[in-house]
Amino acid sequence: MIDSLKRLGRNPLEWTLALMAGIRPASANAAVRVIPESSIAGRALVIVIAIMTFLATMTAGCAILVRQSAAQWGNQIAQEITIQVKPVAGRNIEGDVNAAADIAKSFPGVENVRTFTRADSSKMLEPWLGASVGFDELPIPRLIAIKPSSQGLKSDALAQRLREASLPVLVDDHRLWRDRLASMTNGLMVVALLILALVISAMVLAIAFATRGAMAGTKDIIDVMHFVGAHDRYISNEFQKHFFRLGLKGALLGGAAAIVFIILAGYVTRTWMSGPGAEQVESLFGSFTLGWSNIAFLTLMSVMIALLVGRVSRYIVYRHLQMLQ
Amino acid sequence: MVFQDFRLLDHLSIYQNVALPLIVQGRDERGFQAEVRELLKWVGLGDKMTALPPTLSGGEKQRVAIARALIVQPELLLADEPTGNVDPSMARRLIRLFAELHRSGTSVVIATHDLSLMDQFEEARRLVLGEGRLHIYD
Repeated sequence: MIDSLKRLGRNPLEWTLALMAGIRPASANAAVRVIPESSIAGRALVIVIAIMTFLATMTAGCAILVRQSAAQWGNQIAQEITIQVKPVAGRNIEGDVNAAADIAKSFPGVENVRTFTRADSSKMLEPWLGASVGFDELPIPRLIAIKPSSQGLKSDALAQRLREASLPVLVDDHRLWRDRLASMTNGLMVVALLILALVISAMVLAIAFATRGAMAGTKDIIDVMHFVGAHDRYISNEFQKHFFRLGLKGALLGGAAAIVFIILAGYVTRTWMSGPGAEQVESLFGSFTLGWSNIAFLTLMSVMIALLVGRVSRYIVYRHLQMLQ
Repeated sequence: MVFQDFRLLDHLSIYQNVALPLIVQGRDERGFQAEVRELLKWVGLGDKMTALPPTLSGGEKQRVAIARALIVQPELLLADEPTGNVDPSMARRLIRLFAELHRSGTSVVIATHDLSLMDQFEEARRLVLGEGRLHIYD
């Protein structure tokens, strides 16, 4: 049994993947590779597959990072509800703020209430309006930040309660932002899937052309194989093993390069850059941190690409052999 | 079948080329290793089992091709101009090899233009194609 498996590859990983790709052990001698191991066409194919896998893995990796960041933003926004107290002529805004804060503190589902002072509000506007503006003269609304407890807070009921108290307030649970964020993330996911589909289609075509090119140079080998009594199935199996090995090599190289690139990019943004540019990149892609489960997913994707290469080349080889007949 | 242009796989060793018909049958190497080695010794290539075909002379390549044809123990061996690409002394050696093979029980049909070479082996039956007719000389 082990001897039979050894004919599929050098190690258990290659055996397993070869069996998954539908390759059967036909050769009785592990050392005999009917198709020459190294050729220019073979090396070019490894490079094409590596580049394509790199692009596919990078696309998937970036999509995962954006989804992670969007989920993180969504959670952060969802963890806070804001009450905006509007300044109304003839009313004491400080009294309105205190009244609204008292109602909020006694409302079920509220864990913490933080009132922003007039100085806090002025400070928040300073980056946009400049320090020279007389904030005391401006009708600046005041903010109360509420942290809901784990049991949840009904923001509509809170707004109703504040309105009943005749306070000039606006309760914002950031639902609008969360909805926009969700649609933006969904849009990005669709684009990422589209790019992934295009990259994989281009890769299948590249493999098909490369396989045909490699087959053209192996006519003599096919003739000899037929002459020594090999059937089409045996020959296509040998070719599939050959292309599967090339695919595995290219896909693992490209996949590993993409994962290393993402990890290094995260390290570089954290270590070397501290300017606003890095903050923008981080705010869009998060901290370039992929969890183990995502790394496993990207590795699995590389393996699936190798299997795809094996399958596509088998189909091309079989068709080529039928044409020869 | 033995061809004038040998038809060997250049990236495989002499041993692997000869064993190829058995390998494609899915036979275990342990079962035929001794047989292939013995056959290669018989054709005078026992010391070149690991060599690659491009490093061999024309005569040696032809002997590898003959060994590959014989490894499946055929009842009939067809040789298409087997001496066409080798020098006269090697051609004589190859013909002696075919004669020996014939004595061991395999029918051998050789297609050749070299009638003088065949004249050296009078025991062989000759079928000569000329002017659209087949002449048989027993």
